[in-house]
Amino acid sequence: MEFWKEDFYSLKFAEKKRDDTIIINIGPQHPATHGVLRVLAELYGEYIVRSECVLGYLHRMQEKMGEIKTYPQFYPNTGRLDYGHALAWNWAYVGAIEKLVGIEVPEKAEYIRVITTELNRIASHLLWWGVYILDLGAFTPVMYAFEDREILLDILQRITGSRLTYAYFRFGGVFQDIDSKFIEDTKKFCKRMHSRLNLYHEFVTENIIFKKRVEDVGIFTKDTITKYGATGPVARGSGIKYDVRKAEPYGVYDRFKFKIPVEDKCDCLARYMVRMKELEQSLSIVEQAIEGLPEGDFKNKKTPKMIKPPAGEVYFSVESARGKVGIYIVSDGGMNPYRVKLRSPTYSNLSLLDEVSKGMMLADYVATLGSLDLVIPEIDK
Amino acid sequence: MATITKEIKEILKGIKSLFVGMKITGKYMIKPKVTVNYPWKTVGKEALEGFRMVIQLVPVPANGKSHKCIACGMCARSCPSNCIKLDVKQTVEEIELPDGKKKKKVNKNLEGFYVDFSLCSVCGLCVEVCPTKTLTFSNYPYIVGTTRNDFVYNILEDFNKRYGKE
Repeated sequence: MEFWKEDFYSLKFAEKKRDDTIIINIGPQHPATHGVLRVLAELYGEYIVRSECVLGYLHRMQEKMGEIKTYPQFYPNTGRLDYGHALAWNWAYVGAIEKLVGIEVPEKAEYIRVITTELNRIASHLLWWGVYILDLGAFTPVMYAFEDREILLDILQRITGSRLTYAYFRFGGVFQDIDSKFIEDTKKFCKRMHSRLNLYHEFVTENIIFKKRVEDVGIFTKDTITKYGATGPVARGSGIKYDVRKAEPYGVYDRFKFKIPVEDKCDCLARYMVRMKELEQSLSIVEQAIEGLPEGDFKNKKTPKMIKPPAGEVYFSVESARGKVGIYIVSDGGMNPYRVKLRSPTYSNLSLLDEVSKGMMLADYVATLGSLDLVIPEIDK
Repeated sequence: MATITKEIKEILKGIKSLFVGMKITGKYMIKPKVTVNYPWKTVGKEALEGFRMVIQLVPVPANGKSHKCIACGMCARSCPSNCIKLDVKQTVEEIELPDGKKKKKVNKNLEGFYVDFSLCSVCGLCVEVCPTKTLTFSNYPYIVGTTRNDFVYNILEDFNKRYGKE
């Protein structure tokens, strides 16, 4: 059966089909696509002539849902956009409304936000690390990553109430205060994680098979990155030093000392190394934040119960584990937002793949796809 | 010559890296298990602390038998997915004020507090908005059911069962 004569995307894709090639579907249900991403690829032997990503299998109208709900009712949606780093989306939404209404956030709440978001970033990178190696064909490392990640999720669960889809941040603070057990556990985890990272490097980074799979594979030049607006570790792996936490500091990020890891190699290994170094930086931020944790309220008590921002618009962006998360909100002065625009980093990161994949081996394509750290619910929204 | 020795060194380093991986895996083989054999064993109560499940009514600390719900319906209105339904019986009675005037008094009696957990996204807005602080999250996660209606809880009935009120 020639499946490419069935639907709109494949029909359009097959128009330019050469006689000596075949068209295959990668996905929508394929373990290497981390969700329901469908890739149409035209193959000549084992080389990809051209490819096209088909999106929309997980579209849930998150932006439209924002328009029909009141401002606080959109909290749970922000937790469900990016299951890897949900707290970054929480922060982006909460920060946007705080900026628009002018709600002050107590210092302690800012610190709690930094601690939980960075812990969540570590959890996200650990998930990526394990699953990326799984994509490349090694099964064991994902178990090591999940062992650490489970400890982290237990720590976050006590405070935030969920393990994956958080709805923890509130306008003017957070849902509940952190306690001494949380701080102790976090300190213990940071200590443990430093030695675990050495084990990861010994176990995977120096492994010859891993190196051969990722070195000089999936080269994203600086031009491609800037053309498609890719951010996060993908951009930093190509030598672009851009991190929202440093470029436009939000919260209390300007008080901490941390570096932005940048690699110039532009290949999959560079993006891998950026993320591994980011884990160290996040651990150092968490340690600094816990040391300097001030006393005070965890939520601004003067926050109005009925959020009714003045007419106007606001844009707020934060750095998630995958890149720049931005939320643009237009208010007409009513109970619901007039428009909610969500800028998801992985959407931009994925769009450069069609251009880059020309002439690539199929196995390298999977390695490159994994190195983008895709989260499909965030792309489709 | 130099390139050949360099390459041989690379190959040897590569082969060594394979054995390092085997060594780590071997070490882990004799370490104790970190997972729990779930249906037969479950994690302790400590591990579930703070986990959010279906909301529940809190007893008044003074007597431990009654709750403070005034059936105002704030929780139902704040819910993003409309999963809370209150069954409220309203009775109007006329009372006489000390100065002789008559006034209508509305009594709200809570007869059922239904939560459809299959729609709930445990965001906590109902808990935050409650004026008498009568709602909290329970943390019992092992819930099963064969139909959708199994996840519609009457938390008032549960409260009465637990705290012994007819």
